[in-house]
Amino acid sequence: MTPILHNYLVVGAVLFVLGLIGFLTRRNLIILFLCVEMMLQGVALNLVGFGAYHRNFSGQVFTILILTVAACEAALALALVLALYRRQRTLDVSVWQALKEPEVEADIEETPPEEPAPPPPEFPKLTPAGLEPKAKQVEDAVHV
Amino acid sequence: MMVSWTEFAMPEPLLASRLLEWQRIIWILLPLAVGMIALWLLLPQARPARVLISALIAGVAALIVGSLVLLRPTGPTVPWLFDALFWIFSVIAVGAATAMIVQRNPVYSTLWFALVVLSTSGLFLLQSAWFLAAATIIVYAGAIVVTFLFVIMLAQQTGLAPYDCQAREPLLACVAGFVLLAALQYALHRAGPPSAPVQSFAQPRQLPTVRQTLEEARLRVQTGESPDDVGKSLYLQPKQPESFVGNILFQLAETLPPVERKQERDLCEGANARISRARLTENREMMVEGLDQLMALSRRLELRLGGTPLSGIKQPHVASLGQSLYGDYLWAVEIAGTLLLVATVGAVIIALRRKEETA
Repeated sequence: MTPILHNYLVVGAVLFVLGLIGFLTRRNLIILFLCVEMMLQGVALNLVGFGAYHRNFSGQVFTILILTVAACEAALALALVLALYRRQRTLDVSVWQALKEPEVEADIEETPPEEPAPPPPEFPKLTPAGLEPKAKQVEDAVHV
Repeated sequence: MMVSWTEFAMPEPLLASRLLEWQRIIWILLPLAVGMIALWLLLPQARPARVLISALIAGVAALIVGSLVLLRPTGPTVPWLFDALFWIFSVIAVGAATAMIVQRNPVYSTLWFALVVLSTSGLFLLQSAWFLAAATIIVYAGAIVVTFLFVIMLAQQTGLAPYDCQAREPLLACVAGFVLLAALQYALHRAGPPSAPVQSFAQPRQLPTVRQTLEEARLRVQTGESPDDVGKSLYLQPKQPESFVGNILFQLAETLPPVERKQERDLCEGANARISRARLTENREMMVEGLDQLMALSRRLELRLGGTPLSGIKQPHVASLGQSLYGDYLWAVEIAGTLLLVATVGAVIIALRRKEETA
């Protein structure tokens, strides 16, 4: 039984492009690396599809090598992320724009976005139960 | 005098075929555009995400894709469950990928990524890549995702960080993604539907026929027929060079494990050269010698491959993968191993706390 190559190529391309969009839009360093891993998944899907189409093992072997590279990348990237986090206490990529060369112009958004307004606190509303205590009497008791 | 209108009109078949082509392209690009709009609405931005609207739009995109699939002529003998599994796995993969890139909480993002990996493994299974499916789950879902979760927990502030709640340039990124995906889809469309999988002419079930042909040829040479005439009978199908028995044996020898492969291939090449020289020079002894060598080879191949189809040499899948990995790609495996070692050392050095930082 031969799976249809075309379909696998399309799914691989969609995964790759979704990873790309995530990489371009998100600001969190960790999510950026997750998106790269997802792009690698799309490529792996393509390789395995071509391997099944040609009925040999080359595609799978390349995918195993991709797995190795992905593992290396994850280890190094996460070590870097930890080192960066220790310095600035943030995972925002735009904080690290200072690393670029001095004559290169600043990116469109130099500053990290402002804090979103915190949602108004919600207090629990208790339903009254039982008899309402007589406030005046209690007050008197305190004064006495 | 009346000027004929048809002189100026585009010839109709040409016009129709061009319009049909554009129609197909638009039909391919439409779900992409709709899906990208949905993605743009979902990406974290200053305003609250419109989940309901974008879910509706994404549903429209899915409907268009579904109609494309239903309208397409189906393959001859693919069981519907196979297709159904493919669609289930790929819908989960694409949906989880979308959820991963729009999720504001990094922990949830990582969990969605694990789902992407699981469904990709399902797609690997459908392509009969058993080992790879297991390896992907173990390495990605087992190791990489867990490492990501660890780091997120080490470097996580309380509550949602402001940078997680605002994507940068979501519109531009969506347009860029749309352009790339549209280009890829258009290229796939231009390439047309893939032809039937490449299958070599040689099949192990031809081996008995090959041996019979060789035996007959040997008899005819010995009874005094000219080697050139006998050589013409060495083709299983007349006027097809690839059906030359020597070629078939050569291609079958290619499927052997690396150690035997080289030896048998060289032997087969030598025998083929001998036969063609014998045909030219009308040398009877040389012809018999070449035929004998091919016969011995076909007997060995018959023992080795014994009636299985070409893709299924009698050994487990993982063993064949291992033979390819450690035979054909040994050098790459060595390099990958070195890379792992270097990455491990690098990660340890980078993650080490330095004294001036702690002070």
